[in-house]
Amino acid sequence: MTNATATAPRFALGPRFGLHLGIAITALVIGMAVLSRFWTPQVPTRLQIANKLKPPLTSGLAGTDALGRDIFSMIMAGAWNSLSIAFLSVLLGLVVGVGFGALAAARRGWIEEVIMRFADVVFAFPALISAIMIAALIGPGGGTAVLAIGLFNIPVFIRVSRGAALRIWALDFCLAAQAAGKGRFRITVDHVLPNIAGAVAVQATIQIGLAILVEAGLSFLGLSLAPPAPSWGRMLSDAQTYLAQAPWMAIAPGVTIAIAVLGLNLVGDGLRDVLDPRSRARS
Amino acid sequence: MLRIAFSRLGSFVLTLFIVSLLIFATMDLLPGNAAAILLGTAARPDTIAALEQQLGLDQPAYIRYLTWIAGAFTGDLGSSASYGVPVAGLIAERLQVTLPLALIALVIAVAIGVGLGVMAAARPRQAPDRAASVFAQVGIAVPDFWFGILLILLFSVTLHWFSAGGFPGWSDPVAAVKALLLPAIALALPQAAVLTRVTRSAVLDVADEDFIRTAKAKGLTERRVLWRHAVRNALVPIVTIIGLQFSFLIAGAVLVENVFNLPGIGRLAYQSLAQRDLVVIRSVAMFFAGLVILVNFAVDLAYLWLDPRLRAAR
Amino acid sequence: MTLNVRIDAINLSRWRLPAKTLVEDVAFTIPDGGTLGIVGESGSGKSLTSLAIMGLLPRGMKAHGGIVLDGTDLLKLGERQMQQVRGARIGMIFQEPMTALNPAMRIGDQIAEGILAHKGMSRAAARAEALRLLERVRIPEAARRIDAYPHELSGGQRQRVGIAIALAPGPRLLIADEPTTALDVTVQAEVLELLGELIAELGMSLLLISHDLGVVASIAERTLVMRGGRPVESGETEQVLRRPSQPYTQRLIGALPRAQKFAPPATGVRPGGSTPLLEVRNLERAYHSASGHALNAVDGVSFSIEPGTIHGIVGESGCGKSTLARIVMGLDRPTGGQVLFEGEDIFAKSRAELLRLRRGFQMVFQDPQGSLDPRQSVSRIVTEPLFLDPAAPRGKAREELVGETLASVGLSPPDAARYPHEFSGGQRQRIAIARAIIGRPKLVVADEPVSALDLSVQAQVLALIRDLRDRYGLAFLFISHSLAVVETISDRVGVMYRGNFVETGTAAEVFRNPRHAYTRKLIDAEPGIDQPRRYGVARTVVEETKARLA
Repeated sequence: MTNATATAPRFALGPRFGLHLGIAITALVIGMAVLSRFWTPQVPTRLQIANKLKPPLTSGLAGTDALGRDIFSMIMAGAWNSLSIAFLSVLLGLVVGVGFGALAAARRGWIEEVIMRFADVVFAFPALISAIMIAALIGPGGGTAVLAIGLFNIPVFIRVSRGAALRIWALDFCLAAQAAGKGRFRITVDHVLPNIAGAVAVQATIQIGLAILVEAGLSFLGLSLAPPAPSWGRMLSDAQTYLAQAPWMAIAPGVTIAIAVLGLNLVGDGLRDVLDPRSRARS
Repeated sequence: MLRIAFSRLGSFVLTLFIVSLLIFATMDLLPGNAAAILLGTAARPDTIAALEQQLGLDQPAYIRYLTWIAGAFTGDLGSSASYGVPVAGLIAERLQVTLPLALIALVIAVAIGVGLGVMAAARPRQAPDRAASVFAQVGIAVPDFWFGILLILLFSVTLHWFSAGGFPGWSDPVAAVKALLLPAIALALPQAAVLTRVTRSAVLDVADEDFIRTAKAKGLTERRVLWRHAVRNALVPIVTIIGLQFSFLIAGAVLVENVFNLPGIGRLAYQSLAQRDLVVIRSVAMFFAGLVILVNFAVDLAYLWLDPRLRAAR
Repeated sequence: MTLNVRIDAINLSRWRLPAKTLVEDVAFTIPDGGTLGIVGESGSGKSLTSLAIMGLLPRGMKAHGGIVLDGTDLLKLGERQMQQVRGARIGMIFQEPMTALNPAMRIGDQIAEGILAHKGMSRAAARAEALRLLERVRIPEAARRIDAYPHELSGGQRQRVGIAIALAPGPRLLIADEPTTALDVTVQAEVLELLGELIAELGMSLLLISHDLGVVASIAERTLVMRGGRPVESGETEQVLRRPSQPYTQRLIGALPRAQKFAPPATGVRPGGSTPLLEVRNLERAYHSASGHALNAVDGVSFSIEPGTIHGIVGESGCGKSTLARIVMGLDRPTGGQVLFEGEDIFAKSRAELLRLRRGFQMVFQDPQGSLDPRQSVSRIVTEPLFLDPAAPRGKAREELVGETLASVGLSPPDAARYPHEFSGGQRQRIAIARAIIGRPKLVVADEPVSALDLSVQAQVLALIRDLRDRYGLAFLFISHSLAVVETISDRVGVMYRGNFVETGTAAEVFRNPRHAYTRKLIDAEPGIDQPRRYGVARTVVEETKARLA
């Protein structure tokens, strides 16, 4: 049985469609974010009160907002802000979380107990609540967002990496490495980390998507980057005021967020299927 | 079994204790104390000192911590500086909105998520499964507060079926539930999507197990194999996710309450931030964190009920 | 009841892949009260054949041909109709007693469920029937155990419950797919005996699937040998297994571990000094359970191994043999006693000294899947033990050493650049052995090294181990649950039971003239193909022949 699946040729387009679509969407969003550093149709922060509340296609691709700013340009520039906060915060969570998770799996005993208790404690704070607490101390801003989202990512990565690492530690090749005289740190570097990298990468992709959602929520409440820096969440908050007159203000940023997150989730799921043949059969 | 339940209770209390210390430390001990933050940078030192005395900030830290914790049991959490009313009463009042909102959302999410997930897993790769997968992918990607805005746009601005927000109070229960319905749906969408996915894959995982083959070999109907054997054993991962997602439900509630202008605890937290009212923020944060820990404690207990193997272990 | 099976093909079709034929041209008949055994190695299609009869083939697979049960072609039935056949007319027992029962349902309910599905019985009556069946399959204290969950029972008891579940709706044909493979040999004997007793008593027919020739020989009247999805030969069990006509069957039987095929045991040469290579003195390892009482997994074991000899340890699960192996390897600490390697106590050493000593002994594990890191090349895997050795060759010389070592275990030097998933189970075990011997150790601890392998591959790996002993003077501590394997390979043997040896000596002494009752019990329980059929032979020969002629 196992031989049959191992020698089967790689699937063509069909089952990998999601992954390919996800890569295309993610590439598009990242491309848009990078491009916005050099070029946008309009300067996203330029106010043109005379040109305010114009519907899509009458002024720019996505119309203008209440202050006459070009919505499409703001979305492009917002992509950069949103992606960089999401990326940095997940990176923070990943580095700290995988470190602790791998340590917990390698040492077991009371060290593991303490680390897992720490994860429970951090996990008890929804990202928005810790953002409100942090903002109360140091004020809102990009740093607050990165810190709050990063904090809530830490226990996620601790759990994922510890779980995956424990499964690796239970395998005989770790015993063989111990028999070869390698210490726990060395085995973690040589055997455990390479084998859990896939699971961590999958989780990271999905967490970046989640972080984009949380960042949008934070900036909707004004807890993330301060204006005038364009941000998807604040565009939605502005849009709510003009919902009756200018519904397009609420549509474009929301659709963009959903598409960006969808793309990352598709990549994450696709990667998981590629890395874990068992789940491939299921999805 | 009772012993295991007690040990879970112990770790629940311990986690609560550490969380309370953490909140107290960040909110009360870090530089830039409550009085200074409340009054802003321009405040004169003697004004700050007077307010500190009023807030009890001149006492040693451990006394202030104990006062706060004791207050959590006696219902005296201090007074809100900006509202000028007791914090406990403020939270209790706002709870009447947030708790029903979260509960309605949870019920909707579980009904839709588990239902769709089981339906999808019963016939993998067929049309209903594909549809459920698309729903799940899109539902996870859509921000709940934006979905709320869309609901307002459709049902309030365009169709005028619902009011765009606000809460009439529980004196008229029908109006109250009606006011909570759209926000609850907005809050439930991503939860339902996550649950759909998890239910589907959990049931499919179990469907690969040997005992499912045993059940089929007995000649049981597909329906019985699905519900009594597959879903029954998939409940552990499903309940786990409900517990893990609760944290997102709370974050979502803060946002959705703001979108729909509901006087709930989430909105209270947000307003207190605007007023720099640390006394309120501290207790609200503790309340939410405590709720998350409580839900996960309940999930731990549910495991014991769901998986007989755990009752015997250790 | 007569089952007439003629499977032309079982096909696997997958999206955008050419259909694949997994089983072809299998045909057999099971008469009323007849017993048929299907034997084959992994991938022979024996399990698929049994699942096809039940209509339980995995998704994407389809059987073609005819499976006729008393005049009804089961392949033509719809799912609803098939549900009335499953359980009620054909019962099935599966391999893994650990996973074949629903962990969240009381065993009484699991038995009653099948009764309720097929017979118009009240719940109370079904429960009474379940209790009767539990007693019939000899579950002790059945009245109390009826409300137990599967995890509260032992492996053997679970398999008895599995039998009760299969019998409950009253089928006339029982299919047993590797029913005893996961069980210890003494438990296996009990389960086979029960199975034989029940089919004889109830006059049921049995289709037994097994990889174990001895199990099939002990219960089946007729045998069908399969390989690679095709039948090889079939006939009376005695004739097929004792006078096989096909070369494949002959090879399979030739691969059965048998001691007499090999040369007399090596006695070992002590170079110069007078201490044995490994000496274990009064070794103890106690575990404390949460409830407070201590359990001695290893309880005062003493033995020694001479250089260039193979010391076998045989015992059933839980006897402490794996704990012993881990302690000898220094991977676990004893709570009492000593392990002396060339006269030096390994647990009295500093870490640095232990690491130096450890170069002299290495380990081979059971699971060829989990013992190799899938992310490392064979070259990196094999050279891992050189990590300890500051004098190990580097660069070109190391490459040569790897090539040489791979060649000595029957692989080729270019294999060094490949990855574990490119190899078969037997080849992976060869890689693991290469890793163990690359640093020229004096002792290799092998914990169930051939248990996960097919018979023919197992024979090759055993031959390799002997060869390494003779060529390099390597000593092995060889641990296995299989008497036959230990008997074949070992120079000296220890029979382990509850943490200590009940008997030690040369392999010939122990197995020809067992002195201890437990050793005798083990030897009696081991099913061999040289013994006559012993389970399920209650009916008269006349009836048997009549049934077959009909």
